[in-house]
Amino acid sequence: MLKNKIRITIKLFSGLDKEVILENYNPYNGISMEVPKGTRVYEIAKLLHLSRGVPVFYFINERRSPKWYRLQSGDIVSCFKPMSGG
Amino acid sequence: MDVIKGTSNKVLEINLTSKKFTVYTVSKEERKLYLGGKGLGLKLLFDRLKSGIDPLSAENILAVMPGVLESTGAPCTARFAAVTKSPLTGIMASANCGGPFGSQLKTAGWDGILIRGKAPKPIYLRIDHSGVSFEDASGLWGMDAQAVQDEVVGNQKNLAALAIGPAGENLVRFANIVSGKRYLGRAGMGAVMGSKKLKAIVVEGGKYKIEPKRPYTFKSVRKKALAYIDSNAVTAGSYRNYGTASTINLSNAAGILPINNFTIGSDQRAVDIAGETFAVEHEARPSSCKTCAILCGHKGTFNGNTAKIPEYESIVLMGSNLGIFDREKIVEWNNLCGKLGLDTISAGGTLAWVMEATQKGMVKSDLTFGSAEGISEALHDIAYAKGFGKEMGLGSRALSQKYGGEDFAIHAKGLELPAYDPRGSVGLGLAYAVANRGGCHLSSYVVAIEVFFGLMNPYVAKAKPEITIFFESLNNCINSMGTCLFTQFAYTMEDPLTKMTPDLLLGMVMQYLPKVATKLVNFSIYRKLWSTTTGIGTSNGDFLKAGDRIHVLERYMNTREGIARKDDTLPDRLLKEGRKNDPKQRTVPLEKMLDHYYDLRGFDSNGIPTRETLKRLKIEIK
Repeated sequence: MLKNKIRITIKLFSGLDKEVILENYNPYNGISMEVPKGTRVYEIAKLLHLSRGVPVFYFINERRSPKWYRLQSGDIVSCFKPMSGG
Repeated sequence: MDVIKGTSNKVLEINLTSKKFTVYTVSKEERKLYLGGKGLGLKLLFDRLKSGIDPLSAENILAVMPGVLESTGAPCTARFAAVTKSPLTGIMASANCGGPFGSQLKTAGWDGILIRGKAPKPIYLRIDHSGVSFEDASGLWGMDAQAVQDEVVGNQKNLAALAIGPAGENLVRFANIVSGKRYLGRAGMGAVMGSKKLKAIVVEGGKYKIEPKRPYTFKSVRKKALAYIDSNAVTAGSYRNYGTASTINLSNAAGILPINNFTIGSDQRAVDIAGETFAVEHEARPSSCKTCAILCGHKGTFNGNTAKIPEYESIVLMGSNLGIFDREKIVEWNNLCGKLGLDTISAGGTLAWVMEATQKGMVKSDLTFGSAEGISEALHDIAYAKGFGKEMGLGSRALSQKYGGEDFAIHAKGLELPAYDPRGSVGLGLAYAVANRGGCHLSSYVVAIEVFFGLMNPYVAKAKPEITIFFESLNNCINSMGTCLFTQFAYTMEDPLTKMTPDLLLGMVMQYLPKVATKLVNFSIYRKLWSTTTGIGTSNGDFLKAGDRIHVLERYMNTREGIARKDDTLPDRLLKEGRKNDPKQRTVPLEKMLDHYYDLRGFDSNGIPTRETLKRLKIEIK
């Protein structure tokens, strides 16, 4: 891993995996990827080439994450479209 | 067809002992103060029920109350409520259902039915616009809840039924009542019907057309309501595409998915039982309540057969909380509970307690976490009150009082908790502890604000009493006017002020200025729909005050049954143990929130509504 990069895991839910069109996406493991140090969570949508305007929210370390959170090495980022409860 | 403008205000009072009925006329004052549905049902019971009665005696009354908006054409309004004294908790209970019974009752010209007394042998009721007939149900007794509906309703237009399965007949304390494939699920209402030897109620509707009293304004409000539902990302997105089961992945990501009797909050296998997986693997398609614009209900194909995809709560309580992540099994047990007439939440919660008690050597059973072995048999035994099943049918509180293990009997006031671990949503912990019917997420759905929308810190007590109270009152309005609670996401969040306000600002106001935040929530769609239907003018403030009144009346009725601060609590597991997935081992700081909650509600420090509070809300002091 390059010094200025960190490795994170991204998990996609509520149909986002279909929108990203990933080959062999495994919902248990998600996608492991390297991102530049200092990447903020809202930049994930861009990294995944999600259409602009698709509202996405994120959970990191079992908490809803603010969009401006700077990703840390080893973070597991769960991405959702707006949803709520049953 | 004859027309009812707004509400008929006619309530059938049926006595099963004397086989007679009378008609009660609801006054305008009662309508304005208690709205309809749940609220009006509670008020009618307050006037009629003595405190201290046995819920399974002839003296108990079961009220079934269609919503004010039922059959008006307003979206998501195929809702009716039932209110009674619960045999599971021993206090007041209400439940809400989207089955076909409500609209047939309403279009038969009835704004409610009150059933008291006890028949000497099994009967069922036939109701139409002219009244009630009492029919022999000897041939129906013993049938499952779906078969009995097929028998008494079949494919006849304008007929619908309420029915119980074997669990209700055998007085299982968490037996439900079914209408179509929807349930009055919680707190054992099926046992109340069973105790009265009442197998079913059939109603023939279609006599009246229901029209709002102010049709032009109603039409424009309805249009706005529909537009909000269609533009809201929650109501028109996840619910529509994946149903409530989509919450599995969400709760798992938030670490609040109950697993193995609330010991763990997340598991990699959760994805196996999530709505997204059901949708892909089982060709999910809508199967919703009539007039629904959200379409959260889904059915799917399982081994070539069509079956309902279980709701979130059922999947968790009959699945992950038992350590089971097998979709086919969960669907099988969900169907079985539907036929036997068992509430899946309480049945699952009780099974989880038995699994843990078995593990700890407190009881003997074949049930173990992670194993499907013996679960179908246990559900049958519960429903037919066979062997240890008879004791399981009393619920987890009664079991733990007899065998020990109260610390891991996951209930509040005797009602098993639903599928969100409050240690990761402490406001919901307060809401569970103070909910009038016991462990209930629908009293005040604070978990959405704290966890799913991330607007408030889910681990701090600050401001949670204010938010809990606001949603308690609003939810009482919604349940009393007869619309779906899920409309809240659309009706309040699509309001331009809320929609345009950045989440950060919204969250800060809620966390630091909660009283201001609740004043800014625009719920006027609800008030306008109710007002244009009934023709009774009211302000937003008075409308919400009706929700306050309904909540406090129910609390007051419960305190007359002995409920006080000692009962507003949670099991030790949630107050003293952390979740295994939480490195900080956080718990629910309940005491910190309780005093402030009582103060804001106008209760004394023991949780009893003060005389001033009752007078302010025009509740008669008994």
